[in-house]
Amino acid sequence: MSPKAKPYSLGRTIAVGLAIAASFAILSLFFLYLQARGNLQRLAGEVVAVSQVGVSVQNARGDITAVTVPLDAELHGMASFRELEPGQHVMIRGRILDDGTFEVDRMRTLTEGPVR
Amino acid sequence: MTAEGIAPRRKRGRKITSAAMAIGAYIAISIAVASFPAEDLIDAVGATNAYVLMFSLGMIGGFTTFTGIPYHLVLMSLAASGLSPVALGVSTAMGVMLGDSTMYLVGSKVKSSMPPRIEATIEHLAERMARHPRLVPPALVTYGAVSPFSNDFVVASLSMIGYSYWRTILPLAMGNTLYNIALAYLGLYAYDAIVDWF
Repeated sequence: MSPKAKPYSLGRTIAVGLAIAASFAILSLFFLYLQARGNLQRLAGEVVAVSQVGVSVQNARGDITAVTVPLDAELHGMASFRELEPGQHVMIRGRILDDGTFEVDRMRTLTEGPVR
Repeated sequence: MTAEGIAPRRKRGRKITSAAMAIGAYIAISIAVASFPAEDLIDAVGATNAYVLMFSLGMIGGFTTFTGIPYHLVLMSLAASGLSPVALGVSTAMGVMLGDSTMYLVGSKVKSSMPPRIEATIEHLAERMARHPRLVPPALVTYGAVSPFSNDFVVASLSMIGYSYWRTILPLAMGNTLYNIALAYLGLYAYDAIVDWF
């Protein structure tokens, strides 16, 4: 029968555990950084107006962003952005243009409205 | 060495190999999921209900070993859009905890494949925890609420020790709910500033 193995000390166990957890946390931050660094930005909010070229979206703080929808934009939950109505909630991935408008790459409708 | 001594060694070697393969596969899947843009995962989930979407993203995040991938930024952007930070935090935390439950299963399976000294250390820790049973749940709530580290290590360690599933998951879920609600409120008030940092 083999002798019972001696456990590692509590201090060493905690140090190794924290080191492993910290290295995974750093790796997580790296992936989070990669996700956020993409050349696309995310915008979500309530549609407040629909025009011929796009929509206006309001966030929780009341800021309104003019959103343009190019023909090749990927739309989910709608055939055309003109189907959108004020009060609907949308989540958009796209880029901010030099003139401050937000150009859509992908846009999807969400079924919930903002909290009043 | 006798034939009787070689057989258990081979058996243990096979167990260690299969455990190493399982852990390696888990990490590889985690890296693959973390590398996908969140938008592709959202497309794959396909939910139009934001709370169901966050539950699903939280669950995918919980399956992986990396903290919060891919849901952090999506959670904050949805909170900034005006959805309820509390409901978003609760639905995300429930998804994360369901995902983390897989780690409990992995932990219970790999314990017997650990090297003898690690197995002895696990038993030693279990004895220490048994001496202070009332300290464990508050410690888990605190860890879930404030720790930026993954829950996986805690869940797997407690699973190996033989700590009850519900006593592990419930306090962690409570802590994680607070963490995700706080994260949602952070998005509500500071999403633009956070995105600008990157």
